[in-house]
Amino acid sequence: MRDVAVVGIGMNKWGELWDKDLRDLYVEASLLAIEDAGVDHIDSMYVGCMSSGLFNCQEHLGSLMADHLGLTPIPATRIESACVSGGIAFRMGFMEVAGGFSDIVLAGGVEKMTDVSGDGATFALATACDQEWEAYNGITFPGLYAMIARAHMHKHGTTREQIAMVSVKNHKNGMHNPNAQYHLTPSVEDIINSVKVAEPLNILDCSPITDGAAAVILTTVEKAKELGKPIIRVIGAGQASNTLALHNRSDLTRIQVTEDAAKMAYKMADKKPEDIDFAEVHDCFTIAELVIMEELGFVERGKGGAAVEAGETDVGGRIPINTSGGLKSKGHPVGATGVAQIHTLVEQLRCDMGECQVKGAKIGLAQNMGGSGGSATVHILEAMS
Amino acid sequence: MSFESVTPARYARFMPQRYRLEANYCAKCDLHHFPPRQICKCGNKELETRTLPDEGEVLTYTIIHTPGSQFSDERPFAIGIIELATGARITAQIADTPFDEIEIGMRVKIEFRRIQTVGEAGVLAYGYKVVSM
Repeated sequence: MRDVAVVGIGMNKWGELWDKDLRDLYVEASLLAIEDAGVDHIDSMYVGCMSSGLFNCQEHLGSLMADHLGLTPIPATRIESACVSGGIAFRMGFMEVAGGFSDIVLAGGVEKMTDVSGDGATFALATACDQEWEAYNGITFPGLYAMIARAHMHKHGTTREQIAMVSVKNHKNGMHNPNAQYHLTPSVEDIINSVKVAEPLNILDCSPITDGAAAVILTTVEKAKELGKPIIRVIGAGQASNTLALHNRSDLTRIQVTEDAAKMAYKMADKKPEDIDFAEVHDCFTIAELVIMEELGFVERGKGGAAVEAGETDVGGRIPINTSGGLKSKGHPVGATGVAQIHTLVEQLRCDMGECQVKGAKIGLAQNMGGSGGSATVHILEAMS
Repeated sequence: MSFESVTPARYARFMPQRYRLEANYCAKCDLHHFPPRQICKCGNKELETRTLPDEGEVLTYTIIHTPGSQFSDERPFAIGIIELATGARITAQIADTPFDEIEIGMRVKIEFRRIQTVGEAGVLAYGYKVVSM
């Protein structure tokens, strides 16, 4: 297996982008990544996207994007695994370079979600849960995470305030991210009193509906040295699957798929949770971040809420989480999210994060997740000196 | 343009499950699968058809205020994960129960109810909901 590095990153300003089409978003982010890497060609490409068919009536994205990037006839493959489509696109790019099949791979992700109504977006997103046995009976994604929140509060004594503090922290970080969709600083009270979505979760507990894309360039460490880029090496890669239906998981306070993907990544990297300097995690809903911290081994099970309350996950804390603003502030164009997390890891490891820079950051972890925990990826990146 | 998640063929296919909770059972694992599966995780393919009991317990729940388009007229409604006496679990709406009386551990009974009205023709789609006992 060859050593692999991330040498280019690109991302556009995310939000409700009426003037931009699905392909505009993807091409824009990809061109930024290609320019950043300084590569003169691309050998292969992966496009993470969950539901362009329902959102934009457009499938067949691999070739569409290769065409508009002027990259045909390279192999171009669309990856779908709900909200971890981007994370898996990155993993496929990593494996293709590591395996020696290609030297330079573009891994991108995109979602153009605001061409449909809010109800329409809820419908499209709900196709990531078990259509016949969950969605048929009326459950939604906020509803699934609300049920995890209720179970977590009941079993571990996690408070409503602690759950809201995830949103407060991520919005605070997002204020420094120029690409973030929302630049707001809601208080715990604002969040607890915001519009109800699925009790106990409110609108300010939920990641938004977003248009956006992100892209990165993967190559060998050898080639990265030739390009004269800082060497940001991919040292761990994990992916796991689990039941689509939340009700079929034995412990409703857990998101087991994250632990399974993390075990694989930690083993490959030969690292432990305490070796990680900072992380980007999939806070699609506030409660998710608390549970993920527990699954990644950053805190004891049931102690996620207390850790956030104590400031352990703040930029200056023991284990800073979502210094980009997370999905909550940055936005969540589902197919792009996993790639944007890698974008942030690279920014941190290049010491380019400004106000949200984690001092002395050498090792970062990205956790991306599909559905209510039916799929996940975990990647660990290290800055080589 | 809109997509419909319930078509007549898809609806008819699952009537045994939606109408009478027909599951299958792995005797090796003492495990009920709902909906029925072709193979148990243990590898056993000799699974026996069984009907699940019509009583259970609420494991967790939520009140949905922003449903998908096909449930817009129902909002707000309660929905939860119910563990049936045999250990099998379902996600089902909790009907006819004041929201502030719903709690984890509450005993419920399964009832046959209308779930959705589908498409322009207004086809009625039925299934299971639960009510407080």
